[in-house]
Amino acid sequence: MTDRPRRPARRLVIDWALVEQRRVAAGMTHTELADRVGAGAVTGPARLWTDNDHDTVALGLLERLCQVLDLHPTELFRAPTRNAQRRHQLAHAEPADVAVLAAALATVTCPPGRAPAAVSSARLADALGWPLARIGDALAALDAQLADTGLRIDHDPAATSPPPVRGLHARDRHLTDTQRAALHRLHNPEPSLDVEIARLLYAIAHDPRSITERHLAYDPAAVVALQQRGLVRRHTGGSYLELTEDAHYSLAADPAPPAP
Amino acid sequence: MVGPVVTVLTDPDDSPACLTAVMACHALQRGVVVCLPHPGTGSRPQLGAALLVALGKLPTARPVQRPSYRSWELAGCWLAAEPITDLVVLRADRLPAACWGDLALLAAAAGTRLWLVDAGSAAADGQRAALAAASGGRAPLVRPWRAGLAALAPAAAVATGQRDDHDGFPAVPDVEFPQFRATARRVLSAAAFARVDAVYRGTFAQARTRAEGLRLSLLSDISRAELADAVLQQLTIDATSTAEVLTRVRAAQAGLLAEGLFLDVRPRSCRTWGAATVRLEPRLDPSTVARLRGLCDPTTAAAVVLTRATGLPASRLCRLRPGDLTEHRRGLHVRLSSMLSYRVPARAAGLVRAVLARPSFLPPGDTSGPSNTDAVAVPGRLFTRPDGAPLDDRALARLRHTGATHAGVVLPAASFRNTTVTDLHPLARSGS
Repeated sequence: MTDRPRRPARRLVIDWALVEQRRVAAGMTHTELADRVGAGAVTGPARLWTDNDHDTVALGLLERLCQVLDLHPTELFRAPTRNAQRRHQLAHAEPADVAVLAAALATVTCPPGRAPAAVSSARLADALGWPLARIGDALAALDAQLADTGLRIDHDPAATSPPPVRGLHARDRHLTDTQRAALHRLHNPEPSLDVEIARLLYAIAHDPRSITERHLAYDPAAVVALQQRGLVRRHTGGSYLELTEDAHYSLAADPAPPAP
Repeated sequence: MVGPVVTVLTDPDDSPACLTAVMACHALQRGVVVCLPHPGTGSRPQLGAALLVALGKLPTARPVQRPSYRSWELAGCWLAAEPITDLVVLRADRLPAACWGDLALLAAAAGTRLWLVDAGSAAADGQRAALAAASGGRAPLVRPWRAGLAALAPAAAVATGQRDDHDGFPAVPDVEFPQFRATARRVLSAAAFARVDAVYRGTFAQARTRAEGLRLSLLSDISRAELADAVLQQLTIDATSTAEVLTRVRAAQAGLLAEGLFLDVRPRSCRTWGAATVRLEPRLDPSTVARLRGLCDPTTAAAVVLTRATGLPASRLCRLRPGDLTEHRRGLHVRLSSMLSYRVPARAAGLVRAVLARPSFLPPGDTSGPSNTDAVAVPGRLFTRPDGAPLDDRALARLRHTGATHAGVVLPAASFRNTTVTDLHPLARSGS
């Protein structure tokens, strides 16, 4: 009996960037995440973020992380290299805009276990990385395509109920990973800006480097709300909050566009 | 300033090409009015009615259902109120000599250049003499019609550019103001974004300059909703489309936040889907102004335009006085109090300005020329009856309703009635 050749151990890499993204999308602070998942999810990241060495992560922690952040276990790990190469090859055959839009609407309007939420065409365009005009053309084409099927897309931006788009199926490989992640973030409709959020935004813009996530004068929910919108972020290498390039570009009316 | 000039354009062949080419120069928005009097026009009222039609007035709208003694005075009033630079009268050779003199006086009073297209072999001596007498003995310029057309042609090119400028403001993303500009840059083409950004940055700068005054106004007893409505009205009234209104609103919010003021267009108390709290439709876009221009009565036109511009109830508009209207960059400022004012854009200012020079209180027999504001007593109220008595709120409401019906427009309420503004400075200081 011969020994079978030992296959090299495949190293699974946890996608902590996705975890952080989902935390912000879910509107949770680090403290809230620690309360629900465990201290390891918060005290660990400083060590886990780098993830260069082979750290051991408790399976229970990953399980709770998936439950709390609505992640499938396969989403928690980065795709193996071979899969990434395969997707790269498939990406060369670009699907039609109508198919991508149908897949996007199916992803946005049918989150598991939740009521469908309305999404504006601007947020959809931003998630897909398309110009607004391209969304308009694709919507018109999809409307025409769906005319015979009885499905209808509600374009009314002030509709009193969410658009009842059902029956669309997200076919595989029509959306990139980036698009899918951005579409998942659209599940949570953004609440309108209120005075508390505006007050914090003004404080960060007016007095940079003085506001941290744990500033006692500001509601932690306002911090998360601004992070969810992508308006503020924690400065890399520092603990204070700063405006993102997008927010600075909009709020300062600076002629110079932000760096891509 | 160069005085008005009277020019006779000759067209000995009475060619259709001349008629077509000169008619094509008609463009109210750039101040060129081409009038074609009916055959048989021989009196001031008839000529006045033809001028009113050329000025865009609807013949069926009161009080110009037929040529009346008021037509001539009204024509002079509107010619002076609207920014008309050139008045062209076609087939002028068919008018009697007295009309030539009247037209010269009318144009001189309004500060308008007069072009008389003479399609006969030569103007009669009587007509030339009447023209010279009205012009203080100066002989009119006589030029071939093609030369006159060349003088009007550069303006036509400018007008085409303006039309293109008003057409097709790009669709913009409906996102909150801190994300608006960056999102627009991502989802719009370069040309579309350049156009949106020009409007955004202009409004942003205007909002910043108004912030200090608005902050001081917050200390007064005026309601914050009224203040916010007035500021947003001034910043958005120039918009020609819903997308442009949204762009200006977002820029105003961003500009005010940069100065420590938060303009909330959907306050928490009004955040129900059923309540339409903000109206993003343009209030005085070019098509609406073109409809309103059909109103012939200056009082009615001013009442409807001011209602469209401000959304104020009749009870407040009827208290306006002529001194409350002040000129501002070709437009008008409507001042309700020391801290509350609204704006009428340049494209509609003439429709309000006419009420200050209305001839309604001239006696029927006084037809010596166009109305002159220096010659009449300025009434105490802006909106008055023909006898000078002020209009009460019910009469004004009825008048503007009638005018809106005639013009084919609606009278919406204030666009930003439920907005509110909050000063973030004291909160920020107390929190840090």
